Amino acid sequence: MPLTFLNWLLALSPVLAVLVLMLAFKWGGSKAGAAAWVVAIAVGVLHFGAGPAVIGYAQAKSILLTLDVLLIVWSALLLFHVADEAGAVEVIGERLPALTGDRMMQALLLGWVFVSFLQGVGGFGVPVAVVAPLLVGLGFAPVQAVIMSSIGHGWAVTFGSLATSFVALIATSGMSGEMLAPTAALFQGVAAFFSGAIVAYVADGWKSMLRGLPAIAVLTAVMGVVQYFLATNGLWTLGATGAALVGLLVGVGLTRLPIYNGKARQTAAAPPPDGERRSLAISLSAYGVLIVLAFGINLIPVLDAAFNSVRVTLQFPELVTAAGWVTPAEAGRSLSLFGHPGAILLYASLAAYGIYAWAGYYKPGAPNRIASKVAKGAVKSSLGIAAMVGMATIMSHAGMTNMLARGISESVGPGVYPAVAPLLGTLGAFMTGSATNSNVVFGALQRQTAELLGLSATLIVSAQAAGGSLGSVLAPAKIIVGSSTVGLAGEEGKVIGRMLVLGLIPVLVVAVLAWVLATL
Amino acid sequence: MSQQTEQDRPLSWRAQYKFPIQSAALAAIVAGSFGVYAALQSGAGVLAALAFGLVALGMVATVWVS
Repeated sequence: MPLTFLNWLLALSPVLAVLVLMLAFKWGGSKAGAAAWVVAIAVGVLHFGAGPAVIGYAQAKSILLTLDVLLIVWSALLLFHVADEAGAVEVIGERLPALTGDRMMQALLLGWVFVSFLQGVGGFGVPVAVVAPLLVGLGFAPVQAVIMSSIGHGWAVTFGSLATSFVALIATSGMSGEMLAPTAALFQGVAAFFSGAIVAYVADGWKSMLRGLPAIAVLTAVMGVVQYFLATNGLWTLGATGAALVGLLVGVGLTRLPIYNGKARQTAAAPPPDGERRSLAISLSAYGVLIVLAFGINLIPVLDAAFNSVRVTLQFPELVTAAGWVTPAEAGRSLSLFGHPGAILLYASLAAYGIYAWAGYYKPGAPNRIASKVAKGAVKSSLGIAAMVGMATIMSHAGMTNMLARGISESVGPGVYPAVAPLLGTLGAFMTGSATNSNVVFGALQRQTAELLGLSATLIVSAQAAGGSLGSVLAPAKIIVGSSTVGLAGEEGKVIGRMLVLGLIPVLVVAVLAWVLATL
Repeated sequence: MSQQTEQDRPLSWRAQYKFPIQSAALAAIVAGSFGVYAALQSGAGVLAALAFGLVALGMVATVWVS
């Protein structure tokens, strides 16, 4: 099919539908995604010659990709609510700032490291919702609290939520995690430094930020290296979680230094309603169990073989549209029933529940509350992911993604595109409020554009991940949620302007880095 | 006043059953997609169309209730 402006615009129409519906009509992701799915089918069938078999097999293929993501989403939410219902999350958030009276260090520990830990183990809006009020409780202004907790965890989104958005990127770009992880982790590590510096600046001004640079550099190095190590050894689901956990330990150690100690506060945490004081060690046990299980199952060969012996996969035939676009025959996404990261999360959740129950941390009715919160949180996001992945897969099989890539590659040259790639990811996440959605919508497009321009697909797709990660915290939808938790509902305007100016700094750094790496 | 009651009733019904409808939509999308694959592999075009209709119904329900 020839590259014309009309063909290119029609190929873009499902993506445009998502953006217009979410921005102009304020539709949620699941609603806009489902509508865009319908648009993709209509345009694919009527204009791009995708027949029933192409559409049907594309939809079937997409559900395997979707399940690969959803198994993690559901289990990650389960683990989070198991811990949260036990009061464990609150304990961790209250004990940390009591270690130091230095406002800048308090902000770094909570608004950069702990919030990233929460992104690692949960995401889905939880980090800001939990940490922003904690920062307000420490005496920071609500606007400061929202900005710090938002920008502070932007670097941890790609490998956060147990790497949900990274897995989605693998699914839609068709590239392996092993190929993408090194460069993606590099970008995220560099961005982490700037995220931390911005948090310190917002907390206490330029002078405190400069004083905090050594601590920020040490924590960046530690978290960046740990995340890189985990991601490049097949443990990307633990990338942000492991990095932030180690960051917490090192951060606690840094508060012992005179320059960062200030006057340590007495632990002023109010006793929990049931009168039982909770142990920090037991509170962290859920995540300790997760790390032990993930390391054990993935790195011990006999366990790896045993847990991954049962797999579900489907074979798909070659598919050809009436316009001549060919999708080769291939196996669909292979799902390991017992070794999947979602399964590991389930085991950790069950073990954690047992530990917290044994410690007496639950009030009566906890299982029902946990199940209800998980279901209500997961169903809506599951619909959004299913719709968006379905849309993206149908676009790819109809030749629409290739049409978009051809148009972009002929408009933006290879010398400039590496810097544009992360900005596109940021734009996608900013518009949709989700790094996962941005990766789903643009993952295949970024890869095909890179290939047409003769650029490294690994570099470009990794830049997409980084841009989406950093852009997701700037989304109006996320800012609205964060603002509502600190009493700024209806006053988001106070937050948005400053957030955008500061939040784009890490994105521009990644854009420059991507351009430099492309020219080496 | 009776007009306001009648106008309010569909909205409150939709709000009341939002979660069950979303759950059913998700189940329809997942089950329907596997159904499409099985039917296409068997050469049963009509069944494939019905299964795809189930997927489409799930998507439409998502738009309607969200």
